[in-house]
Amino acid sequence: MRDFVVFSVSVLFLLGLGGLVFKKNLLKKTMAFSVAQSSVVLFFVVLGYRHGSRPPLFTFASEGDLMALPSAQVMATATLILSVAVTAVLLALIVLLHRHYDTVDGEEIRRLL
Amino acid sequence: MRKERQVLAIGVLASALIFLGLYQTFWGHLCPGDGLTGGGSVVFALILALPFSGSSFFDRENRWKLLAVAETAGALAFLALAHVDLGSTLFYNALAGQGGLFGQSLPEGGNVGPFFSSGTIALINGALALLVIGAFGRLVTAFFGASSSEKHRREEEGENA
Amino acid sequence: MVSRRLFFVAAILLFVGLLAAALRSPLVCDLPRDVAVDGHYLAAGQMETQANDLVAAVGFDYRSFDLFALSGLVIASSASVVALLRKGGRRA
Repeated sequence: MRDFVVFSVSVLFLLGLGGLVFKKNLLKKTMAFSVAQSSVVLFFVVLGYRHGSRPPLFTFASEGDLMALPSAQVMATATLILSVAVTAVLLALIVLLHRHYDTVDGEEIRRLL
Repeated sequence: MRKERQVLAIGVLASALIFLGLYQTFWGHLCPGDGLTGGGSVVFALILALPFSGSSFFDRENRWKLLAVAETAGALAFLALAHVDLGSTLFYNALAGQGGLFGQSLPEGGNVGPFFSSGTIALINGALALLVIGAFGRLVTAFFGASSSEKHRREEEGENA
Repeated sequence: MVSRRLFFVAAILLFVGLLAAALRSPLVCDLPRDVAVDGHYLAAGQMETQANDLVAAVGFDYRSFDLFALSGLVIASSASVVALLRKGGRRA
């Protein structure tokens, strides 16, 4: 279980990093970056999980339940909001670049700069 | 699909998302959710409804101003809730368990979940949802406005050429 | 393109090495060594904050200053996108 989760976190992150490095289109780079940020959120959630635990809610909870640690999930929510804000600013910059250079190809923009 | 059926389907979806967002915000102290994600669900409904509002939506000044007012009101409400108890630290939860608005006490352990509990947490959820609706709503409207201005620019260039 | 592939291979090796080291520690999916802070949240959080949802209680009561920064970030990102994409500009 533990190996599977760490393996999936690393696969997600490396997919995001590969897309960021190897794709020329700026929009595809932004999407790959967003995938890498999702892997970080997954890692935070996994850090707070204990074997056999339930969500940390007391609504309809029974006595003596093992609960997952809440601060890891708080960090995951904050990272989600951060990733939305960063992606929004990145997309606005891509729109500006397209307005100025009429292309979203990174290498062509570097040639035209 | 005909346009009217599209508009009806989008209307049903957007209303469901708005109710989901309000539920996430105001039951955030009893069920999973908080003001940030609740506001995000309402902005999702706004994104769905924006292309179906006609071409004059992006230039409508009143909607833009309403979103700006919502953002500022949410931020000011958040700051005001920080100063609820001036005798102790900032953000102190002084309304929890004191009776009055959101002041009910909880039984220990698992329980049904009374709504008017948790003090300033529920109010902060509402303020943050308002902030996120205003801020991300303006952001999304700016994106749609940007593309419509490019289209108008190309049409003007096409006419002039 | 060759240097890019070399960089990616080096990144894969480094990352896999770090994760293999991380798998040896009991921090992931198991009881962490030190549950002082989270233990206090689980034991006393419900009664102190009078909220059933511990994630909201921790994030909105014990760690409200993080929310302060997060709301500032939301406002800053929205203001910067609106400023970047303004339709105004010079009209001759």
